[in-house]
Amino acid sequence: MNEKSITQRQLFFMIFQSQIGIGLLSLPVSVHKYTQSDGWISVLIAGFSIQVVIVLLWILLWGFKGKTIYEITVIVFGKFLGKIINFFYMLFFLLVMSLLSLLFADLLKKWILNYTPFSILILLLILTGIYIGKNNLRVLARLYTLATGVIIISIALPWFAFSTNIQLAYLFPIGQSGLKNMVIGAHDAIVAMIGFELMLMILPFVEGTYKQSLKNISLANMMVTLFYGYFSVSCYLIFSPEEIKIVPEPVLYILKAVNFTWIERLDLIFLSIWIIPMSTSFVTYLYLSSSGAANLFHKGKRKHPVWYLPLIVFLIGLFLSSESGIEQFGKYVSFSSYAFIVLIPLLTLFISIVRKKFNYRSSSL
Amino acid sequence: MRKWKAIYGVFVLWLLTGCWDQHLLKDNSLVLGIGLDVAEGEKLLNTAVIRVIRSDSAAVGKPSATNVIYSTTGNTFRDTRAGIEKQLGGEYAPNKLRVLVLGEDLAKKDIYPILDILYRDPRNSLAAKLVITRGTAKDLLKINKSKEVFISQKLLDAINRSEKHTLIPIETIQSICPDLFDPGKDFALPYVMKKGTDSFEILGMALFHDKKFTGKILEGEDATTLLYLNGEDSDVSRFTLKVNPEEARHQNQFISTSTFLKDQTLKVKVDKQNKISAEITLKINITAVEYPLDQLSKKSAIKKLNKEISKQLTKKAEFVIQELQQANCDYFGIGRKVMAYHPNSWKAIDWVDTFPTIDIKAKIEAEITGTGIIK
Repeated sequence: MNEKSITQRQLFFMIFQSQIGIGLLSLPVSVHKYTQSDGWISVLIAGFSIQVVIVLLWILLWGFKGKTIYEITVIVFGKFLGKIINFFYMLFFLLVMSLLSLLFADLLKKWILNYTPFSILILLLILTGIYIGKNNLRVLARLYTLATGVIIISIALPWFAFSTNIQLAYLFPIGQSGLKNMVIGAHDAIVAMIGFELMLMILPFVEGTYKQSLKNISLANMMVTLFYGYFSVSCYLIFSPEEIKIVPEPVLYILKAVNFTWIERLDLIFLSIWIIPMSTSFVTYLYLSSSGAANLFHKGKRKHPVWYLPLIVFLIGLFLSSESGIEQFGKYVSFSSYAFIVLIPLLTLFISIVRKKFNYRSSSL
Repeated sequence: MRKWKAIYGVFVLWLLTGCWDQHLLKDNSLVLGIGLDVAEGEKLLNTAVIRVIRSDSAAVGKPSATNVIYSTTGNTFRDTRAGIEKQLGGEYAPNKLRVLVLGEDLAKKDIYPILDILYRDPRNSLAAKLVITRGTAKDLLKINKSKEVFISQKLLDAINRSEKHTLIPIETIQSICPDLFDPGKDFALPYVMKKGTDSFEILGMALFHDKKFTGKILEGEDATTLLYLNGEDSDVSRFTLKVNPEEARHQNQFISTSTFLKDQTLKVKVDKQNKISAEITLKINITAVEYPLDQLSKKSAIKKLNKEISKQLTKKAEFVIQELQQANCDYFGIGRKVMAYHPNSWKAIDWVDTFPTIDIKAKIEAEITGTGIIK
C-alpha cells in the first residue's frame, strides 16, 4: 500500500482539482434561472451543504479505517449485496465520466472546433485521460498539484474584463429571489461542485490521521466555493440580468468581449487553460470507476478497466451528441448523484451502526 | 504489450487525417467594415468592405492590399453573407471586423435581430465599433477611399479620435449588449454624416430607447455635456462659451476651455408616493486655452468667470436632460438604480411612462485652475 500513499497537501489539491471543472463555465447561468443575481448566495449554500456531506462521508470512512467505499459496502451489506452496490457505484462513476466527456466535446465544438467531428473530440479527452489515469494514485496526486498553478492564472483573467463597464447595481436588491429559489439554485451549484466523493476512495491512502484529512478536504471545498462564488459575482457584475439568460457560458463570454492590441480572443486562451482542470475531473472519475471495476472483476488490478471503461464512454459519445440529449443525460446523472453521494453512504452508515460493524477505534493506520 | 502498442497506433492514426478546423489566411477575405440598411420589403442590404491581398503585383513582389465593396440583399444578416460569398470566391471572415455601420432607417427599428448573429457565432468580432449614419450605410461605405485612406480605417480612426475628445461614448458591439437587454438603462451610439463626395463627419451621439434609435441626436458640446453628466470623461474636451456678450469684438466675447472632470455623483431619490427624482452634481476643473481679454490675473475676474461658466454649463445640462427625457433615453441608468435600491417602487411604476416625467436636476460647479503660460 505504501507506494500508493499520498501526502495531506496532495489530498487537498486532488479534492480541489476534482471539484473544479467544466461546471464553472455555465454555473452562473444555470443558477441564475432560479435566483436572478443572487446566484452567488446559492453557491455559498451549495458549498455549505457539501461541507455537511463531506463530514458525513468522513464519519463513515472513519468507522472503517483503511478501507475504501468498495470494501466498506461488502463488510456492511455482505458479499452479494455489497457487490451489487459496488457495481452500481462503478456504473455511476462511469456515467459521470461520460457526461464530463460529452460536455467537454460539446463545449469545444461550440467555441473552437466547429467542424471537428464530435467523436474525435471525445477521443482526444479519453486518450489523454487513459494516459494519465493508468498511473497510480501518487502520480495522479503530483499531476493535480502541478495543474493547480493553471487555476491560479485563471483567477486573474476576469480582471481584464472588468475594464469594460461593470454595474454594481446588477447585484441588488440582494435576496430578491427568496430563500426557496436560492436553495433550488443551490442544486445546480452542487452539481457543478461534485468531485469531492473522490475521498471515498483515496482517504485510506493518505498519510497522517483522518482528522487532518478532514481538515484538508474541508479547506479544499471552501476554496472551491470561494472560487466559484468569485466567478459568479464577476459574471453578474458584467452581464445585465436579462442578458445573462441567453449566454450559456458567461465566463467564456466575458473574455471574448475584451480585446487588446496584442490579443483578440482571450476566451480561446482561457479555454485552452481550462482543458486541464476539465481533464483532471475526467481522470478522477476514471480512477474511481476503474478502481470499482478492478475491485469487482480483476482482483484489484486496474490495468484492464482503464482501457475498456473509456471505450464505453466513447460509445456513449457516438450515440449522444445533441445538446438537448446531453442536457437530459446531465439531469439524470445529477439526480442520481444525490443517491450515490448522500443516500447510500448514509444508509451504509446507519446499517453499520445498527449491525455493530462501525468501529472508529479500528486502526490499521 | 506489442499488441497494445499496435492498437494505440491505430487510434493515433485516426487523429492524423488532418485538421477540420483550420482557417488559412490565404483562403479568407477579411471583412473590415459592414454597413446595413433597409432594403425593399423589409429585407436587409449588406454592404461589406473586404480587404483583398494581391500577391501578384509584378516586379515589387510585395503583396498589396486593396479594399473591395460588395453589397447584397437578403432576409437576414447571414442570408446576405451567403449572397456575398457567392461573388467573393474566398471565405467571408468577419473575425477582424472593425466597424459596423447601421443606416438610420434600420436603426429606428429594433436592432437586436440584426446583431443577434454577432453575439451567437464565436468567430465574430465583438470589439467592433457600432455606428449610426445619416442616410444609408451603403452611401457612406461606398466612399471606399476617403482622403487616400480606406474608409473602414478612416472611420475607425475618426471614432477613436472622437472618443478621446469626449464627443461620443466608448462603445463596442459587446459593451452595448447589457444595456440592450436592461430595461433600466439605455445607451447611445456615435452618429456619422457623409459630407461631400469623399468625406464624413462624426456629429455626436444618437440616443437610443430600449433597442431602437429615437431619431434624436446630441451634437458637439451637448454630447460632451451628456458624457460628463454620466461621469464618462476622456482625454480632451473643449467648450467654447460666450461669457462676455457685451464686448464689441466678436472673438472677445468667448472663452475656450479645456475641461477635466473632477467629480460626478448621481443621487436617486424615491419618496413614499413612488415619485422619483434624481440629482447630478458635477465638479469640473477648467484651463483657459483661449481668452483674448487677458484679465485672468485678477482673482475677482476669475471668480466672476467661474460663476458664469458654471451657469452656462448648467443651462447646457438642463437642455441635454430635457432632450433625453423627450427621447425617453435613460442614459444615466436611473431605472437600474431604482430597480436595485427601491425594488418595490420599481414594481409599482411603468418606467417607460415614468422616465420622461421625473425630475432630474443638474448642478455644475466649474473652477478655473489654469490659464496656460500667460495670465
